[in-house]
Amino acid sequence: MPFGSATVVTNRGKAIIAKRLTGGASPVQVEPKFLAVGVGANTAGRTAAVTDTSLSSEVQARVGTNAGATDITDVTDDTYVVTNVVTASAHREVNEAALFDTGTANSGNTFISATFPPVNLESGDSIQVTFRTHIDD
Amino acid sequence: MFEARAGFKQITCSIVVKRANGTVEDLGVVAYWHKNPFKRMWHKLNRLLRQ
Repeated sequence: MPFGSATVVTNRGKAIIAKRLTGGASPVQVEPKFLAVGVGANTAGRTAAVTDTSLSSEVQARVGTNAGATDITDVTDDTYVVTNVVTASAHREVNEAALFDTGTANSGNTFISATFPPVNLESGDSIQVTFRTHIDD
Repeated sequence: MFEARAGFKQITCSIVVKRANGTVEDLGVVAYWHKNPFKRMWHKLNRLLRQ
């Protein structure tokens, strides 16, 4: 599939949801709040797909400062929202982003994957990414 | 008989760029998925028209 704009909850993301429901008050599954951005989707000819397990070329450290929250779309708390900010340390042409369940680069499970038209960042610029996942009613 | 459904209805990825000089650029929704294919097409068309 050629490079294109898309966002999906991956197969591993569905597993994350199921695992977060187990374990009582302390689920074993970590919240997938860690934002990663990358620059390799267009050169790899990749569009976000449910089979994604990583970014094509991850850059910068992952950020999980903000935990996710719930929001109302149709009914109370039916939408999971995560917003985090990554600051570029050099010129970056960001065209992919994802949420993971770990803050360690190039590891863990992908919850949501997204590819989009390139966003050019220079050193010191920040990119704030918000993912909203609305559960069907 | 009623049928229970489950799954996702809509997923969005929105971006705001904050430049080092303080300028803020709200790029809006850059990646979009809706379970309704017509809504997906409508979103794509809207973005094309705005470019």
